[in-house]
Amino acid sequence: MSAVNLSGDVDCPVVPHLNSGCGFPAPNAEIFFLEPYATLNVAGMDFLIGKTSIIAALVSMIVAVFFLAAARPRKMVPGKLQSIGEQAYLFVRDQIAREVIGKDGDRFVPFLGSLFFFIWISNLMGVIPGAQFPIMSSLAFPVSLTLMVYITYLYLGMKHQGPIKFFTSAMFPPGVPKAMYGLLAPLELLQLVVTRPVTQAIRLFANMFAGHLLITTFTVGAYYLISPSIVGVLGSATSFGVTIILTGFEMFIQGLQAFIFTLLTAVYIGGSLHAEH
Amino acid sequence: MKANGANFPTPEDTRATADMAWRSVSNITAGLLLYGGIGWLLGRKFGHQDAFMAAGLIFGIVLALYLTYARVSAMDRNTTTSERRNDQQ
Repeated sequence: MSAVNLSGDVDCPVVPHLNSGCGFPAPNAEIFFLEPYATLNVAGMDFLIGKTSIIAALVSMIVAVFFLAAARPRKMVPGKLQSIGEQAYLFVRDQIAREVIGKDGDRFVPFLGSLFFFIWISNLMGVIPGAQFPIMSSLAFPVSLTLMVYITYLYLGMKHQGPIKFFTSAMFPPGVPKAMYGLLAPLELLQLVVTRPVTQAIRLFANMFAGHLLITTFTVGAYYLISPSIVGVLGSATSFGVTIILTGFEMFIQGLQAFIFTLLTAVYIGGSLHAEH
Repeated sequence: MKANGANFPTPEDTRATADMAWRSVSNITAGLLLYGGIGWLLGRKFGHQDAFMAAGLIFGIVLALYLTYARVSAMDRNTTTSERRNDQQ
């Protein structure tokens, strides 16, 4: 972790203790801006090599190597690795692609599967000791994933419905009196072009951001309070217990958010393939 | 919203329902941004900035909720007719 003085006081250590007389170092947004280890200058652009980019590279490698290894032998009687790989693939295919898009969702399973497992494993990095940083809490990651999803969505929509019909069918909803279109069409256009992708990115980002902040707060609290007194022992133990509970809860949220992001992607892709009524 | 004999929801139904649920969030955000923004601009031009912006925000939410309501009722009508058709067969 980078040397950020959480209490903001020059004389205080990075994570002070109650006895040092420093105030409680409530973690803030600064804990998400990690110092880079090195800077690479490629073609006039600075690439920062830090914890975030290393975890991102590691996660993509883990996911890629796992699925390549699981798919390589392809025996009739599957081994352990192949069964897990097949289960993972079938989960995305049956629970997300076929459930939401239908039969023609099968060709999107590679995309949806990559999204789901990349997001899930990188979220899990938030609680895995050593890494303990959910990279989706850096806004750039959810935003770039959302851009991929959104470009796919727009391209498919315009290809299958025609560029004009794609926008008009979203802007002029059925079941609304024609007089209301003047007020509602701009709202729907804004929804389609701006708030839909923005909410998809922010939902993932904010969940990971808030979860990491909460866990950090209680972890720091457990250290800050610990002392040989009743308040110290009870306060520290409670804080530590809450950290454990929150970690479990956070793991649930991590899987859930990866699922929701992928589900929304499938919903959008399905919507672009089939015209609205 | 196709009737497929049995009462299982088709992928199209699932997608439409899920889309509706998630869309309402983006719709309300869009309503707040758009009409709140228009209210803010009007307020800059005519004074009473806070009043115009508050009116715009409320108007935006009301419109977004109305839109959600209209879309859901349209969906509901489709489902009901297809179910009725099923019963008659």
